[in-house]
Amino acid sequence: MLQAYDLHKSYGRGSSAVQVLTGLDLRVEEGEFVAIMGPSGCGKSTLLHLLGLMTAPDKGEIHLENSRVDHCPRTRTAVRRRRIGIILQRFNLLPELSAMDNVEISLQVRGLRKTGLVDELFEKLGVAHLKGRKPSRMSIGEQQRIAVVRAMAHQPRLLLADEPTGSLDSKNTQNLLEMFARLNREQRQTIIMITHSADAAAIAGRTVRMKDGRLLD
Amino acid sequence: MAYLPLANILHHKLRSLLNALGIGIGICMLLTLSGLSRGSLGEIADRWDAVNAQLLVYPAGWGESTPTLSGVGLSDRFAQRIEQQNPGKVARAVPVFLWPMKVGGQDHLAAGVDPGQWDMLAGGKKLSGGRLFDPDMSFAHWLEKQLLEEASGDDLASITDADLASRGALELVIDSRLAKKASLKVGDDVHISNHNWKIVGVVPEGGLARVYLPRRTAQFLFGSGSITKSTVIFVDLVDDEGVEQASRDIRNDTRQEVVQVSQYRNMLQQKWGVMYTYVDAVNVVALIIAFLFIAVMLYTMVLQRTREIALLKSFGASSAFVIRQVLAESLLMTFAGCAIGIGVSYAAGWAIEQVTLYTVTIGPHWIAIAIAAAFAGAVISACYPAWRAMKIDMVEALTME
Repeated sequence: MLQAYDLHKSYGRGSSAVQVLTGLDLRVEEGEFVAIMGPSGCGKSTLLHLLGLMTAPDKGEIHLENSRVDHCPRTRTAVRRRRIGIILQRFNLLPELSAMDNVEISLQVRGLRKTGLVDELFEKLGVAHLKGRKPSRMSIGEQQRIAVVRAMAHQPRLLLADEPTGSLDSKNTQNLLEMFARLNREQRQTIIMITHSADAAAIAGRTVRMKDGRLLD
Repeated sequence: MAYLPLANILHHKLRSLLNALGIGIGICMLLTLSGLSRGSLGEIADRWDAVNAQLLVYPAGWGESTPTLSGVGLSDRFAQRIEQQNPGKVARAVPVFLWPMKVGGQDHLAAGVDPGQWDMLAGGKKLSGGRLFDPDMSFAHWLEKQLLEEASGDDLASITDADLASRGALELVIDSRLAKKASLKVGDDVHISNHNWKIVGVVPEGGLARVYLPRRTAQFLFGSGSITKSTVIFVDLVDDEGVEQASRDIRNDTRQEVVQVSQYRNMLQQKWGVMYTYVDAVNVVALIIAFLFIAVMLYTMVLQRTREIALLKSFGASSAFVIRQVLAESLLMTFAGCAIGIGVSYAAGWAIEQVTLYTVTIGPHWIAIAIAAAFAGAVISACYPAWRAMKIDMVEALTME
């Protein structure tokens, strides 16, 4: 499903450049649920941005579904990105749109229409009553759950989640993790989840640890 | 289905309203200024077209200044000669003395004409109230006797305002629009050009002038005492088909300038061509300012919404999709601005016509030009902000605090 070889990524230039990833290798099989753990600043989020095709590595290769995708033309990369679901640390809901419209715009960009799955996701995450509400009138936890619905609404082959339970209470954390586990089990959804929580990581099939821009063996 | 550009406009109501107003003001300036300049001149030309005459005779050498000149021009004898030399061709030749008079706070080109010939200038309109000035020509005959037959300078000096008033010389007929604007009615006294006049009649608007007075009065008061010359002569032909030939014949015979009355519109437009250029230049500047306004607004919007645009890109939005969002927002704003601008233009035109005697003509072709210019400006002014939106770094925008 996904292979990353010798990934290097730095931010900044010259003497102020910060080397974030320093030769990272990762292989994730189709239908696998992988949790990535590690201390702050070790490069977890940067890895997720690279795997989500939001930025390109300085060096190394990324292969997705047997195609090299790290330095493709912009248009082709945009099309590939549509098949990925990503939940970022900041939920980044569009403030001018309601919860439902936030989900619909993500489908619209991908050339898709709303299906029954969207309502089901709203129900399962306990946010059905927020469909018409704008983000400014939601709690942080509610915004997080809407961001999760949005990331999953198009049934992505690959779901990337950057601390998806970080802003949720224990009940909603449990609901979300159970949903991830069920999607992975029943639909062979490939999931890569970054987390600081050992409990959350325990639900994944495999946990890998990062330190100083590399995976620990 | 969510429509992001519209949602964004509605989300930022005040900003959107101000932007639409900015565009609307540009559109309004374009429509109102062009409508005012062209409308007022067009209305004057329409009134000249309404005169029941085909030819206009004016002094040789006046050239293109004719549309704005007034006062002493050519001898009244030309009118008699034109009729005598063209029997069967010319129905009548009517001398008219034109002079600017300030009524209701605005200058008007008043027409001095003999009461018996007034119907030619009125364009077939009948008096809606009162009577015609000096109806039995008693003042005209008295003055002719004083100045033409006795020809005495002492007589000229001895004629007072009281004499003029008592003999019906200081009587005016005004048109209905001027009457309404200046709140004048039959029987009112007005002080104009240092004389006290009486409004004796009101005629529906649409004739040559807004103010009519006895030709002899106009000649005596404004022609330096000479009552032998008028400004122009209108010639009504028996047969409309022979206009070209009649024009040549009269020109050759009188050695004066002869044009068709229908050409007056062109003469007017040529005379005021510079004004059109000036007005159009002001309009272009107004539109450029309006679109700089849009460009700044869109650029600010792109800067403020880098996170949202980056988010769309993270979903897989193509560059074309992002550009479409920016462009659509610009066009929606322009659409609202056009609607506001056109609406305000009609309101402004109506208000101007209520307060002044100017005419504002907002023609469909000017509306089309304004809309086309607005949408072209919207597309052009969206280019740079759209390009900036396309270049936004997703990771930087989505992770920044």
